[in-house]
Amino acid sequence: MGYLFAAMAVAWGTLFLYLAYLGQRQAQLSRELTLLQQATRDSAKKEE
Amino acid sequence: MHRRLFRWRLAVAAAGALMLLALYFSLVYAPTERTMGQVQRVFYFHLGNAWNAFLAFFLVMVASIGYLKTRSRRWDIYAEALAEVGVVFTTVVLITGSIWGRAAWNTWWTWDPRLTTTLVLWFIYDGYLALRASLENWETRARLSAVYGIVGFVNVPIVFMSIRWWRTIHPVVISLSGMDMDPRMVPAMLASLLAFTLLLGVCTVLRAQISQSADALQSMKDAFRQD
Repeated sequence: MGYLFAAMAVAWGTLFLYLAYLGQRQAQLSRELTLLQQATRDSAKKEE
Repeated sequence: MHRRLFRWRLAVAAAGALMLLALYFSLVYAPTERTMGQVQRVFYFHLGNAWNAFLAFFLVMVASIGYLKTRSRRWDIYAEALAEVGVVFTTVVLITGSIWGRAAWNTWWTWDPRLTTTLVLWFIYDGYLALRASLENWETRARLSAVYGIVGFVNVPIVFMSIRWWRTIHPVVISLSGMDMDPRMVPAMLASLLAFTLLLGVCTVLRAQISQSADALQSMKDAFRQD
């Protein structure tokens, strides 16, 4: 039973960690995109 | 856009529901194996992950051929996503196999043909990802990794056939003569295969979206610098 639990924990743990990592990367990209959009708007205002 | 989001959420929900069903079939419905006992239930998830790894690397080859034919960035993005996801599933296969091996063979690792060829497979696609990470220009990276992705797939049939070609201690559950298992174990195996296949799809699309977002962001940065 211990080996079954260990295998399940490793399998699900690895997959959840990977999905969390993907989510984190996507969130980081969204943050960068928002910052860039803000910078674009600021620069357009300055030009006006 | 809303329809795409709906379809995406539906796929994620279906993958989650199927995974719960697979857990039920594997841990509750399937009978306990007489010789190995409870640890045999690792098989259902081990097989699901192995199937996903094989399928992912096969699709890396398809996407690589697609890239070489069309030179479209989209194929390259999917080849990269599938290779990364395939490596994750192969890692799980190696670890769950090792835990099962400790219980069944009393050893964490042995240089059995199936184990050895799977480890080689893991290194091949780690090499693929390392190659991609080492090249700056995306067209060079896409072209070289497409060739690598096609050649690298050669090892997948070798891994699959290793337990049939060579003397091995790894169980041969599915052969030309049928499936060597209790009929009540079959639904657990099928549910697991289906659930993991859907999970592969979800992970691949998510990973490909990250590359697409990164590309869009880079284009915006370049345009902003030029202004």
